[in-house]
Amino acid sequence: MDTDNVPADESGSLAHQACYIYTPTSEAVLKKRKATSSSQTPRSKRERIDPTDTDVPGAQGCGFPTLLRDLEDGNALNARYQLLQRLWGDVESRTNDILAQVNQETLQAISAFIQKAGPDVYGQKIPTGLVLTGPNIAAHGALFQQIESHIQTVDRLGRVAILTSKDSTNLKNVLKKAIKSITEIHDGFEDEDEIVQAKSGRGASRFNYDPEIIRDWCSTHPNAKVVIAVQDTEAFDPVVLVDLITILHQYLSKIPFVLLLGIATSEEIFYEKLPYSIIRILRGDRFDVQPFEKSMEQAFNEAVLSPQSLLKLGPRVADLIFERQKDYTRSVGTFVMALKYAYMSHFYANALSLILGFAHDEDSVSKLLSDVHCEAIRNLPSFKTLVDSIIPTFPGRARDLLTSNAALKSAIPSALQECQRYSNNLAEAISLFRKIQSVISQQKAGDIPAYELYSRVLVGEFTTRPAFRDAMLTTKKLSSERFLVLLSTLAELPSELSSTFSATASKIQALQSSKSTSLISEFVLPASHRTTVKSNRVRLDRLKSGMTSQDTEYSEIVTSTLQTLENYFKERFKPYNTLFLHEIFFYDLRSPHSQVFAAKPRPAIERALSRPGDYLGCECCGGAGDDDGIDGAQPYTAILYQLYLESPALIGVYDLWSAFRIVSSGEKDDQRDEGDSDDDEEEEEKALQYARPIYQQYPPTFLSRD
Amino acid sequence: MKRKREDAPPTTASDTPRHSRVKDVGDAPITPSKANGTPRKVAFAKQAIGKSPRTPRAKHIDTNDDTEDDISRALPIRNVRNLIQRSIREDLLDDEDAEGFEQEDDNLARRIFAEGDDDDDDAGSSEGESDGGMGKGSQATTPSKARRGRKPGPKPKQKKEQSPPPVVTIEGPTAYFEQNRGRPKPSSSNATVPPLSPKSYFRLLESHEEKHVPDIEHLSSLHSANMNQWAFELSEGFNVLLYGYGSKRKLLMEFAELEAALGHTVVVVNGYVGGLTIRDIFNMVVNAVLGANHGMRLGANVNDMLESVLQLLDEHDDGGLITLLVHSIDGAALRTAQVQALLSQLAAHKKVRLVASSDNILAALLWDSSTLTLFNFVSHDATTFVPYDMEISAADEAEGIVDVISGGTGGRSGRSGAKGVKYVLASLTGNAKNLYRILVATQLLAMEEDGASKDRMGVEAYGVGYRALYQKGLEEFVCSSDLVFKTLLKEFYDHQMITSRRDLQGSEVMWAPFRKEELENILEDILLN
Repeated sequence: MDTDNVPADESGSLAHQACYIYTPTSEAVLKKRKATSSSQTPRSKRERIDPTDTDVPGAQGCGFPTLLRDLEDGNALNARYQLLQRLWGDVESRTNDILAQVNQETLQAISAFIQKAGPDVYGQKIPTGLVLTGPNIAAHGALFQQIESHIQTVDRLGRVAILTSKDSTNLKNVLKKAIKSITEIHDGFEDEDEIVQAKSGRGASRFNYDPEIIRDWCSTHPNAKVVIAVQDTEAFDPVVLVDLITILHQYLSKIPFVLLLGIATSEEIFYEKLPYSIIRILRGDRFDVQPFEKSMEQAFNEAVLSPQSLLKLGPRVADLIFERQKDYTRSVGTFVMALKYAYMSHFYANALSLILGFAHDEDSVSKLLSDVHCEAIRNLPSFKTLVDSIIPTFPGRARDLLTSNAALKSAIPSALQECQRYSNNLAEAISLFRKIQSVISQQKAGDIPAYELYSRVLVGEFTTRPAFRDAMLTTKKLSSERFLVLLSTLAELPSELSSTFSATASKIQALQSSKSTSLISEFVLPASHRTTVKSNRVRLDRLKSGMTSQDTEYSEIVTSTLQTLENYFKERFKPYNTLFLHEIFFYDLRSPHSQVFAAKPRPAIERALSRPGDYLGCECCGGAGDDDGIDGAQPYTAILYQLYLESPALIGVYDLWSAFRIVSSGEKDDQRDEGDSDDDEEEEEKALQYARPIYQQYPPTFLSRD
Repeated sequence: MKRKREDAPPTTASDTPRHSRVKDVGDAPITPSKANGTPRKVAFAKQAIGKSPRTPRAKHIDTNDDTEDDISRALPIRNVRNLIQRSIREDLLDDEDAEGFEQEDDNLARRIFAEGDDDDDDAGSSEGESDGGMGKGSQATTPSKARRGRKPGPKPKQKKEQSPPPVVTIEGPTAYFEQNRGRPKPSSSNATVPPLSPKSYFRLLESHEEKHVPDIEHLSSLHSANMNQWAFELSEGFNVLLYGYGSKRKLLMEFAELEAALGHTVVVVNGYVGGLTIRDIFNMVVNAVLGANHGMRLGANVNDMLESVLQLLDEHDDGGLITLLVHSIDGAALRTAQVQALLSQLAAHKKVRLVASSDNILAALLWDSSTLTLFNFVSHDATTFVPYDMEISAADEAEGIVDVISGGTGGRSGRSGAKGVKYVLASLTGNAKNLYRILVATQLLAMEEDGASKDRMGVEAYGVGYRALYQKGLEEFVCSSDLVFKTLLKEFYDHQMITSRRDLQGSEVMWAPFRKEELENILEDILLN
C-alpha cells in the first residue's frame, strides 16, 4: 500500500509540487481516448437519441448510473436526465425571477434618496442612508453589487465605491480603494478619454489617497454624485470609519458625497459605535431590505407550491431544510441549492422518477416504462396500500394490477392526476390559510410562514392542532367589518369557494346597510366581569335579547362560513402518503441532505478511530471486545487514539509509548522481559508504528505541540 | 510578570475538570494544590471549584480539549515532572470519583484497606526514584500506569465505574503527610523513548507492512464507486468536499483521472506543500486556459489577479472546463481567510469545478457564511484509513517527528520557530537584533560549558537572568532604560522566540527555546547580517 503510494517516479515528485496541471498517465490516456471517442459530440448527440445506443453521452457524461440492477435501458436513463434538466431549469428560472425582484423596492428607494441628496436638502450634513441588510452576510455582497450597478448603470446618478471591512486596515487604504473605484474607467458611463486626461493632468502630482483626485473627477462630471458605500459597518474599524466620515464632511462642500452604511444588526448598535460628534454630522434615511421570511416565502411559493413545479418536497426533508435555514443559513440562495439537490438526487437515484415526465405526455408511459419499472412500482409501499384498499371492493382489479403490466401502466396517468390535484389543492388551501392568518392576527407573532405550514400539513392532522383551532376561533370572533374584509380578500383568491365567499360578503353588506350600528354576532359578546355563573348567564341572556334580527342572521352566516372553511381545510389537509405513487411526487429522503449540507467531520473521524471496524468491516476490529481492552489488531492510529481517550488531561509521552507497545504487540509480549532486546529491528518497527500515527495526527486532528 | 501571564491560563484549563471531580468526591478533602506547593494554584483551584460542575460526558470531551493545550505544556523538561505528577494524581482522583459515586457510605475499612494496597505500590516505586533525579529510573512506575491505563478497557469512564481500582482516600491529619510525601516520579525522561531518526524512519517506512490492507482497499473501492456521483454533482454546479480520517490523496488522483477522461483540464493543488501560494494557483489556472507560455500579466495584487483570472475565464470560451483538485484545502499554506475567500470566488465561477479534501477536524471553521455560499460545497465522508504519508513527508517536517518522539520538547523548533526567527529578526531594529544575539550567545556559552549535544534543547538551566541580560544590554548600548529593554523583549515574547520563568529566588530567567544547533544557526545569521 505504502510503497505504491510513495513511488520514486514522476508522480512522486509531483506530489511535492505545489500545483500542476494533471496529465493522465499512459493507461489513463488510453482510457481517455476511448472515452472521448465515444462521447466526442456530447451536446449534439444528446438531442437525437439513437434508441439502440445504450451509451448515452449526456447522461453518462454526468455520471448518471444505470439503475434497477443495470436493467434500466438507455432511453429511460436518458429520459431521466433530460427530465431533470427540464424540470429544474423551469423551477430555476422562475425562482431567479423572484430573487431578482426581491430587492427592487429597496434599490429604487435608495436611488431616489441619492438623487435628491444635496446641500439644499441636507445642508452641511452628510446625506447618509442606513441600509438595514439583515443578518445573512452572504447576501450583502450581492446586494451592494446590485446597488452599485443600479446607481451607476441603470439610473446613472454617479459613482459608487464599495468599501468592506477588509479594506479598513487604515485610512490610507480606505481612501485609496474609494478613489480607485470612483475614478476607474467604467464602460458605458462617460467618455473614457476625458477621465484619463483628468487623471494624468492634475492628479498626477498627487498622492493616490488624496481626496482632491475625486474633486478633479467631479469637476469633469458636474452632476454626478459620489456614493461611498460601507458594506459591513459593524466589522469596519470604528476609528477608521470616524476618520473617513470626518474627511467626507470636510470635503462635502466640494464633492457631493453620499454615504451608504450597511448595517446587519440594528440601528441602536450602530449608534453606540460612533461618537455623538460624528452622528451629528450625518443626516438621512433608513432603508429596510425585505425581511428574509418574506423573500423566503415568495421563493418557496414559486419553487415548491406552484402547480408548475411537479416534484414536491416531502415533510421530513422540508423540515430538515427549513430548520437549517432557521438556525444557520437564513438565505434564499442556499434554499434553492438544497432544493436543487433534492431534484438531483431524486432523478439520479430513483429510476421511477421517470414517471414525472408523463404528467403532460401520457402516451409515452407504455413506451418508456419497461417491465422492470413495473416490478419496481409493485415494490412501492404506496402500491401496497392501493391494492390493500381495493381488494375488498374490486378484487379483480387488484389482481390485474398485480399480474398485468398493462393494467398497471394504465393506472399511472390517473394516479398522476390525482397527485397533481392533491398538491394543487394543498397549495391553494395553504395560501387561503395564510390569508386568513394575515387578516386576523394583528401582530405577526403567531404567523406560520407557508414553508413551515407546508410540512405540518403534509403529515396530516393539522386541522386538530392548536394553531389551526386558534385561527378558526379568532375568525369567529372578528367584528363584522373585519369579517367583511376577510371575506373579500378570500374571495379574491382563486379557489372553488371564492363565489361562496363573495355571496356571503354581499349578504352581510345587505344586513349591514339595514342596521345603523355594526353587526354583532353572538361570538363577539364582550367578556364578562361578573363573578358568578348565574349572573353571567343572566347578562348574556340580556345581551342576546338585545341583539336584533340582523345580528342573529349575521351570527348564522358566520357559523356557516366557518363550517365551510373548516370542511374545506379538513378535506385538503390530508396526509400525502395515502396517495398512490406519492414516492414519485414527493421527495422525502433525509439522509443525503443531512450529510451533504452539514458535514460532520468530527463524528466521522472520532468514529473511524474509536470503532475502525465500522468502516473497515473486518472481524478483528469490530466493537465486540468491550471487556478485553483495546484490541491490538486495530490500525495503530486507532489504538493510540483510544489510549489517548483513556488518559487524563496530560499524557506522559513515555507512558503512551509503553502502553501502545503492549497493546499493539498483543498479550504474549506482555510478559517479555525488558532487557530482552535481541531484536532491535522489531523494537524500531514498533517505534515506527507509534511515531507515524502520532505525527500524522498532529496536522489533522487532536494532538497539539505548541 | 510575563511568565505568569503565559502560564496561568493553561493551569486553569487543566484544573477545571479536575476540580469538578474533587467536588464530586465531597468527603475526600484532597487539595492537589497543596501537594503542588505553589500557592498561586490554590487561588485557581478555588475559582475552579466555584464553577458549575460538569456532566461526565462534557468532562470527557473537555479532557480531550485540555490535552491539546496541556500536552504542549510538557515542553520545558523541568515541567515534565510536575505534569506527570498531576496526571497521575488525576488518575487517582478519577478513581475516587468513581468510588464517590458508587459507595459513598461504604465502610471505611474497605477504603483503608484499599489505600494500603496502593500505598505499597506507590512506596515501592517512589523509593526507587525519589533520589534518582528527574532524568532516570522512572520506568518502574510507568508500566504500572500503563497497565492501569490498559486494563480498565476501552471505555474508560464506564469501566472505572464497573470495577474501581484501589483508592487512596485519607482523611484527617494524615492526609497532610500523605499529600506532602515525596511524590513518585512516575513517568520518564526522553531517554527511555527509543530515538528514531528521520533516516531510519523512512528506511523503516519502506519495509513497513500495513495492517488491514484488503479492508482499506475495499473501503476505497466503495468510495471510487461514488465518483460518478461526484462528477454529476460537479456538473450541476456544486463543488465537492471530502472529509474523514485518512489520506484522500490517492482517491482524488483516481478522480482526477476520471475528470481528465471526461475532457476537463485538471489542475492539481497540493495544499499541504509549504510554499504554496494563491498566486501559484491563479497562475496555474491561467496556464490551464492559455497554455504554458502565455506571457499574460495578471497584476501585482492578489485581488487584481483574481479579477483578471475570472475575466479570462469569461472571455476564453472554448467550452472546456477546469477542474481544480485541491488536496488538503485546509493545509497550512491555504489556511487564511483571505486565501479561502479568493479560492471561493474562483470556485464560484461556472467554468471551475472544485474538488477538495479536508483533513483537519476543524476545517469548517475556515469558512464564514459568504465564503461557504460561494463554495457551494456538498460534502462526502471519505474515510480511507490510508496514512497521511504524502501530506507530511516534506523533509523539514521530519524534524518534527523527532521532536514528538523524544518527548515533544521542541514545540517551536523546526517548523516555524527557528526558521521564523530569521524573518522576525530581519524586521527588527539593530538594537533588538543585538539583544537577541547577546541572549543566544550567552545561552550557547552555557550550553557549551555543559557539553550539551547538538540536539539539546535550550532550557532554563542555560537561561540568562533578567538583570544580567539588562546589564549586558546596557554595556553594549543596546538599551538605555528598563522600559526600552522591556519593549525589546516584548517583541521576542510575541514571536515566541524567548521563554522566561522565575527561578527559586524569584528572579526572572530567560532563554531561547530552541535546540543548540538551531541556536548556532541563528547566531550565525545575526552575525553575518
